[in-house]
Amino acid sequence: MKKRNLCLALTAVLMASSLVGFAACTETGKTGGTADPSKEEGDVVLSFLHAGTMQPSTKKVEAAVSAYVEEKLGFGVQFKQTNVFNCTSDYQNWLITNQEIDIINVFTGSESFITDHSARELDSLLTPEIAPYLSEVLPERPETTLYGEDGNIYGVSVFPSHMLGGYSYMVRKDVLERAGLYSETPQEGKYTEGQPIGYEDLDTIFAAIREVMPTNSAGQTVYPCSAMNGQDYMTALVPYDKLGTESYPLATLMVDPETGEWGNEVVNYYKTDAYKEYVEWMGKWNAAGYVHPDAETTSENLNDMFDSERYVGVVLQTSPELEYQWETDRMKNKEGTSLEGDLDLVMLPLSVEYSYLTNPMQSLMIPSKSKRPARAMQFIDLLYSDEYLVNLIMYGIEGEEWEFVDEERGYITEVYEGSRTNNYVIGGFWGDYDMLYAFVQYGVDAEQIIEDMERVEKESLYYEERTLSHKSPAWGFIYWADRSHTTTIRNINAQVMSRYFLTLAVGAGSKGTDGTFTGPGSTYEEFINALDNARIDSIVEDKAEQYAAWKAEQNS
Amino acid sequence: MQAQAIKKRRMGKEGDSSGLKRENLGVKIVAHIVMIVAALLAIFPFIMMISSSITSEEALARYGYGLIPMEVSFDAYAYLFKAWSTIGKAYFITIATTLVGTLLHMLITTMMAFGLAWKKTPGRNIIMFLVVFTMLFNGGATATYVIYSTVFHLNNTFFGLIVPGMLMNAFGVMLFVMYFRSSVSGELMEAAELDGANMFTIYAAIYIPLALPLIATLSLSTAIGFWNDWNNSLYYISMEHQELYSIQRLLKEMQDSVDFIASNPDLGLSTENLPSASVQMAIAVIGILPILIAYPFFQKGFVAGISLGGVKE
Amino acid sequence: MEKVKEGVKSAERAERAFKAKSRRTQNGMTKWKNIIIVFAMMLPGLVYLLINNYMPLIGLSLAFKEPDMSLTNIFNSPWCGFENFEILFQSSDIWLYIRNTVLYNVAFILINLIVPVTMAILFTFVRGKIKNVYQTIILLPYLMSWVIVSYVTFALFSGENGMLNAIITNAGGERINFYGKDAIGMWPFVFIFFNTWKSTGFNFLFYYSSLLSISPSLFDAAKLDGANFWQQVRYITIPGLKTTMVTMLIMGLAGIFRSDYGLFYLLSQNSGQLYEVSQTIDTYIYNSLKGAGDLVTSSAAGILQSLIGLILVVSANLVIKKVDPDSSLF
Repeated sequence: MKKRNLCLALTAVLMASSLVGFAACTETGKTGGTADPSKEEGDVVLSFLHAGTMQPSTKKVEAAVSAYVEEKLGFGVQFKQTNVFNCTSDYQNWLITNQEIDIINVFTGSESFITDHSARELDSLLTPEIAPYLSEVLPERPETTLYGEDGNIYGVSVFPSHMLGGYSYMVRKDVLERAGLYSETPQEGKYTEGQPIGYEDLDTIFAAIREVMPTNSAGQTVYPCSAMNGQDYMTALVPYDKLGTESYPLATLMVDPETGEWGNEVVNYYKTDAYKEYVEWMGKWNAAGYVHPDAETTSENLNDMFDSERYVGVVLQTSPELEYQWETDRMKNKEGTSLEGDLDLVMLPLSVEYSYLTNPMQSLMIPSKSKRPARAMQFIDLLYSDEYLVNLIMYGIEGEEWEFVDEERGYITEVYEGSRTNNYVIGGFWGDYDMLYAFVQYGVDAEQIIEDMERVEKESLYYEERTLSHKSPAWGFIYWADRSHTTTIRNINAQVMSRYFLTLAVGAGSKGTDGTFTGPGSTYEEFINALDNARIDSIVEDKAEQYAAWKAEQNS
Repeated sequence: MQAQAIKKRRMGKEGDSSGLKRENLGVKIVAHIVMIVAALLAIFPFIMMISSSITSEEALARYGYGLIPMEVSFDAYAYLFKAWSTIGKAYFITIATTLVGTLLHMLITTMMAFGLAWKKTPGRNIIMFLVVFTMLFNGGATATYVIYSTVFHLNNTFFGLIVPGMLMNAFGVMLFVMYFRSSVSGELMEAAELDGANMFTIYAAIYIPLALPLIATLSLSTAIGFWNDWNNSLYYISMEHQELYSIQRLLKEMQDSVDFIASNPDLGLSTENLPSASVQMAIAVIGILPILIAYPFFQKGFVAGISLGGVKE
Repeated sequence: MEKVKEGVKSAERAERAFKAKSRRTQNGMTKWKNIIIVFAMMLPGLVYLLINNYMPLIGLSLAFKEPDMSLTNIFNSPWCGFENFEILFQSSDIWLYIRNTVLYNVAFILINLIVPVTMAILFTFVRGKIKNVYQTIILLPYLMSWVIVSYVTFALFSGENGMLNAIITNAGGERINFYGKDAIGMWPFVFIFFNTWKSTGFNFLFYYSSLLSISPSLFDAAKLDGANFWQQVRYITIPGLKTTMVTMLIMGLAGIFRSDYGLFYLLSQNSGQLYEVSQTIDTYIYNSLKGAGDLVTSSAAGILQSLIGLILVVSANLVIKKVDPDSSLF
């Protein structure tokens, strides 16, 4: 009996010690406030992302970057390597164990870095003394700044975060011709380049394709409707503003399909008539066999499908340049298929062009625990304003790994064979935010690339004109969900969306008792009920409230 | 009496009544059929895996995965073996961790189980409960990482690969405890202790040899666990220390890199047609084959156990 | 036969020798010496338990806290009660997930007790070199990851060029969407089949090695008494495997709220139409955390799973103690 008590006591002590052991802590509290560059010391540690394996030249680049920054700002730079695929967990691990890190390149999950106070607010650092370039440029570009719930800035984004809407059905001209539906000039009953179409037209085209080209040259079935995992017809045919950063649209502002104008009401996206119409049509097309049978489950992508001629028409963003790019890309390796030779697509717009703000995709953030936030901000500022540094970090050492192809334009470089092919390309660092830096692989036709880049320029101008002029009225509005609403949204995503969204998006749901795809007993009805049970209304209300308040503030 | 006993024995030796013989034959046939079916079911996906790894990417895209490669192509392996020196180093690390880890694991587990199997160990029920408790409640990966990283500084060390989570688990301890308790007769134990024989000698000379089949099985499972582990590598080894990469970590990185390039064609990162799907299969094959090669050595453990235990072949 | 006789003889000799010696010395001191030695042997294990399992238990407190990463020690974050558990019970579907998890686990436990044992018994009748080949092949599924297996099943079930659909259409039938609602009835069997397929190879080895340890003299004596195959199985083999089976049972009970996320998520390709039968607690956690770097929700779910497992294991142990005290754990 005594032994037993002794052992019980021992156990209790063991467990108590493990609980107390690391709860004890010497330093607490948060960092914050204005940092003073003159009081900080040491090198800035930057998290350096790789897309997979680490490049052998990274050490050299680190040394070169450090030397250059030492020259310009008086301190050095160190890289802390991580991988695009597990950077989020790596950052958490570093921060939890208090490792030295001053700048983190956050790829996904940036909100969690704000809500759990991993990231530091940056407003106090965006002063002309510390960040001469960014303090001027950032205030005018809300789409490139990551805002927190309190309205403070928490990150400087790398890619601009506006979503450009406006999609077209791009179909092969030769197939349209064979079906007798193509004409050079506008004609009744036929389609021409740039002609807007609707559901009825799509129906006609699909049926015609099925008739003239039921199988491809290899005997496989051709599917006219390219809806599948990753090719979202829904966004194209039911335009919206997500009003936030959720993965699926929930409570949205809608674009009126007739007028192309933005509405003013925050609604449950899935209860709108526009969405119901979509479900009906998709269901019909799926039932007619126009949709790939494995649309929900296959891991193949759009390129594979198109290249192997199982798709002849895809939905892409409306842009003549994008259309041309897709054509040229798909032209490679085309021997043995009926695409050999010329490929020409006909662009048939499905909706008006518009744009709205969403979450900046990739941001540079400064951790709260960083011991030298001012120096970190100085470095970030330099990164955004210094061409030499950008080329150094992105491509490596000039002359050893790359060289300028177009000195004048500066942003087109040729990268030597074997170097930095796996480094994660970070665009938009320098100069114009909308620019994605292009680099030429060794041995690839540089002339061609320059031509392509010119096209990209035209593309961004096109977007500038067409889509940015149709900005959502909620441009600049950030929705912040409190804890319980975040839980609700998560629940909706996990249970309802991941269960029904894709099924309905490819039209695979079952019909209801009245024979329609949205009638009683159908998958659509189940979906709506599930959403209601998961309390989507609370999200709609919450968002409408915050939006109204924000609008009122804007107008005042 | 004696004559009758001898007669019975002789009958038993030769396989007496035809009924028993027929029954045994029936069971034998059933056994073989079951084994053949099981073997076919087991090997069918494996063959698919190998065949997909030597199929060209285009054929995979067109025809899907199949039993016979439509177009043979060793591109996937060529791509992987471009980095053959790194792969070689990673193999070395993985073999080292597997050997050292398995050895330590078996030592710690069997010694622990021995103590818990002995009826005279004070508090053995409590300790057993503590062991089983760990199977149920886990502090979580984060807390484990914090402890190992900040208190024991296992970051970027060899021990960081084998110590966290791998050196002993409740399952192994339980198995051995049950086995030890039931396999050695109580009288033998008592006699041995009364005699004053060292407990360690008893452990080494009696228990271990008796438990060889189980040791062989469990060390196989542990070795496979170490071989396939990339979690510890991911947490404790940073990218700057590639010399400590295990093969699974390295292959996963290569796979991620291929996937990334394949799924972001517009970033223009590479002009080659990266064989992403067949690379995945090739990686799986490279990961499994060494285990299959080493497996016969474990089978020898069975055989050794069999002959020592006196079971007839 | 000679080897057997030798083995039995040497064991008997050892027994007699020890017994003889024991009559000579009855030293009280040796008892303590032995206890010290045994504790020394257990020491590495105990220390490892402390470091690896008990010290990190502080991580359990995270489930009740709101993590604040600006603090030097994350375990000092503010408490937030049961907020993190809310997400688990906010949905009414949680009972569906629990039902699925428990039912599948019960099926797995039962099948994993029957199938590998049967195979191990049958295997003893197989002779010759072919044994090694069988043993190796049977182990293969254990080594394959669910990702690879899901490619294989997709090749089987795919609507476009899957093997099964090819057979069906060649025979003149209609293409079936195996990942759709119409085929939902087959999926529980598919999951159970593949789980068995994957784990049998290894469980079979465990049972086989336990079988080998059953003394052959028992079998000989039974044969002499005229016992047929079934009687031998019932009275010798099964009791001999009892301890291993009990261990496996307890393991299964401890994890009754857990599931192999890879099996359910990957094999069904996360097809929405199959959710009714493919969603378990772990897949739900994964779906709700995709993309969000959340520390606390998964640890909250983990605590729940552990609690249920603990209750079941302790109860099972009590029951086993009453029925067969030798087999109980503690």
